[in-house]
Amino acid sequence: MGVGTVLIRRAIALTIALIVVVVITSLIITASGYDVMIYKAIINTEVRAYQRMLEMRHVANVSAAVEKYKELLIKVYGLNQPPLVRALYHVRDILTLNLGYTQMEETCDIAGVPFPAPVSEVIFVTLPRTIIMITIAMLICAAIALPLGPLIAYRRGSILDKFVISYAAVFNAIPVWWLAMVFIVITGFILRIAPTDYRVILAVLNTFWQDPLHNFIKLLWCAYVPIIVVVISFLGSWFYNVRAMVMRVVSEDFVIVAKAKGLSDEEVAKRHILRAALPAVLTFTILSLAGSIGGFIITESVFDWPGMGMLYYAAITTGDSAVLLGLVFVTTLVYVVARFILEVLYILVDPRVRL
Amino acid sequence: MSFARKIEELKEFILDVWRYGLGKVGLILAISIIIISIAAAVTIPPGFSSNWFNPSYWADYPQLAPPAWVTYFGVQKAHHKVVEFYGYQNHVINTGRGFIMVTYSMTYHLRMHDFPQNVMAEFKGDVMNLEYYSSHPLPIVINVTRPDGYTITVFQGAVPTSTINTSPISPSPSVTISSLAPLIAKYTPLSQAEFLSAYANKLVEGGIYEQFIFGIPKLVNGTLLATPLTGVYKVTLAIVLPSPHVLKQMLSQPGLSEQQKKIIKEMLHDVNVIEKNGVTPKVKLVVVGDCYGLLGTDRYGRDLALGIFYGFPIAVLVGFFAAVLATFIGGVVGVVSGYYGGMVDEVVQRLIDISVNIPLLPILVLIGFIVQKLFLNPWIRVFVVIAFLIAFSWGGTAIVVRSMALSIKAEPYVEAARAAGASNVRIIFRHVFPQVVPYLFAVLVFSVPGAVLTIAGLSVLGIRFGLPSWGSILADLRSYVQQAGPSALMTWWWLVPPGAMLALLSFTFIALGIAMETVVEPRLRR
Repeated sequence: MGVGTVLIRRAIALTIALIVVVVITSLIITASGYDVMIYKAIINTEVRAYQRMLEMRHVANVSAAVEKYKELLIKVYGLNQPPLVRALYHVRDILTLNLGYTQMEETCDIAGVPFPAPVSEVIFVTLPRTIIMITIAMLICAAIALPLGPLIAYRRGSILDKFVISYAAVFNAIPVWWLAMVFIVITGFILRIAPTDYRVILAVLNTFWQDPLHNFIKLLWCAYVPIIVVVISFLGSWFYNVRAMVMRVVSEDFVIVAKAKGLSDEEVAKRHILRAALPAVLTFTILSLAGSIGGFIITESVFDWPGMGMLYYAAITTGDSAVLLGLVFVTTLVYVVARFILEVLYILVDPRVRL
Repeated sequence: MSFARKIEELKEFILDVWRYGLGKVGLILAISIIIISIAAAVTIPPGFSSNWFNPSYWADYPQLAPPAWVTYFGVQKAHHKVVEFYGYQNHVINTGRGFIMVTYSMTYHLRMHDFPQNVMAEFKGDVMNLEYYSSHPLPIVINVTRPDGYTITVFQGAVPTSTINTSPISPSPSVTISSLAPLIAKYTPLSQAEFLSAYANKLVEGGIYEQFIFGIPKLVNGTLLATPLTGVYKVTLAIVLPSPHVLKQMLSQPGLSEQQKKIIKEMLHDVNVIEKNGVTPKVKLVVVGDCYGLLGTDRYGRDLALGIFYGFPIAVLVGFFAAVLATFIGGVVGVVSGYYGGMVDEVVQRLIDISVNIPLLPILVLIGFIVQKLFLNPWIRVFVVIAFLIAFSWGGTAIVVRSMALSIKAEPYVEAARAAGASNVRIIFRHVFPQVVPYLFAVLVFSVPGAVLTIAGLSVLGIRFGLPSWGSILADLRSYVQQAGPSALMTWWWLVPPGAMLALLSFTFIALGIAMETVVEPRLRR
């Protein structure tokens, strides 16, 4: 099989996975009757408002008109269709990149745009905020763990190694959203070196270019505690994973042979260990960065940080299925694209895959 | 393989794990957690779960109170005192002309520069029929006698029999205020009339009139304030009942309805019991302090120490259920797809592709909101969410187990077994599975915290499972913060213990998992 065939096969498999994820999400939304529950509530309020309006105008035969209006709304929201059909409509819209408009004001509030707005706009307004908080934190983790992780792997059993493993065990155990709550108390209330209300980020970002320098400082003021919390929480697992991946290679036969040949430690590390550990490390790094795009629902909600996680949450609680499906599509797409990029990188760094 | 040898192997495995520092810590903590969970599961009082979510059950507890031990560090918090009277002790029965008075009293020593939150009285079961008093005044009086000699009447009146057994009697604002008037006139330049007309309402509206029961009033810039008055207080509850003689006279009156006669007869019976046997209603007197117990209370007055203790079995059950199932599915699917290969393998690979691509947490939040609307039983809600969590998270285990199965399949002894005519099922059970099991064990231990933290996280997001778990304690704090602003997070005794317990439980199994992984994965070994 040539390189092209391998990549095309992977591309097809990943595309199918993307489609299935969208189908599963649509099915959960429609088959559980979740959308129906939400839509029925909306229709009832709208019908009641309509009825009140008609009664105030003293229109004759109110009940018939109200009934007609209700039927119209049921058709508009597609409630007269069976769940499977409704799911397929959703899937068709998403796959033709027709993400539609937001259905609820709350999702627009998170984004800070007037209602109703195109779903794509809401997502792309919200995305940078998650990147500022979570993706940057992940990049910091990568910048620390990638150079230092292998060093620890060489010194396994040392005090430093034990410390890193214990740190990883402790901070993997502490829920990041709880650490966030504790940090708000410590930095915001006890030490008073950080804000206690993070919502201001909305105003800062939406008017960023009016006064970039000033706003950048404000942005730092808002963002530094969330970034620190995420870094503290995830640094341990980065170290642990990088260390484990390098360690697996260190005890391989070819490394022992290389050492036996009398190559210097540096040469062994560069030519044999790092090269062999690279695919695994790349996978971990790129997938972590891609995964961070979806935001951390709970942590963002604790900080009241209006990012992708909060948008997800608002979409789920208010039943904005358009935004929800749009988010699932975009985050999965990013993930799938990242995995495809990985496939290409595997071929570049590991000649064996080309065979 | 004999049973004895299996035990021997297990022993060796545990000793191997014990050799690592993290393994030691993990084993000790895990055993402690399991023992505590069993103790909590055995001792949990019936109806604890529903009481936990019933605020009126906690009405006589202080609200938002820090743990009692903070007073040892010099924090000024009035302590909490409860005295229960069991119906035949510590009460005084006075027989007067035409009435019987039963008096219960407790002393309370206020040592701290702080106000107790309230004074309360409760009738615990076997309450006499007081329905008669719905039309007649004055059966119950609660007095507080202060160290400075003043006596404040905080409650005076009848309590309907329908609620007397379920809700505590707390001070009535109007009675307390009028009884406070002489005190205010003594300590401040205000006259009683000035106080009643211009200041009394403000004290009631501000919800601070209870402070004056335990305080010295002061007029500062036209505002009435109280400073705590330390010393010994006496809280007295008196029930005033008509004497049997009066009741008999009433019965003989003409024109009574059957209903009225019945009430008076019941009353006569009760009064006779009191007079002859000295048995009175069971009563509980409470001076509601400003600090409580080992871990304090939340906004509803719920004892957080109880919440933490009974949260143990819930967390352990959730964690193990999810871990066992996910590991089992991952192991079986991994072995089958690695061993058989072909179409089966292809299908499994594609399924894993999908499951690792799905944005798991958002989907779980969605499922959480759906189960909240569909099911009432808290355990069903939790298990449905866990089922979805498992459905999307067995992939990682399956990938590793599959690669192990692939290499085991190529071993000579497997080929030999096949050549000898062993069936696939036999080979899987005799040769492949036993080699995968140690690894699965490590995975099992590793994946215990995942489900616990996920369920706790979903609770914090506002999904009500209806279990008194650590997550739900934090969720209540979250919703309190959303109402009262971020400064509500300063209630450290509410914020720290549940999170710390979640972290401790997770740490235990992560530490144990790391040690086990090092044992079963020789390449990680030193």
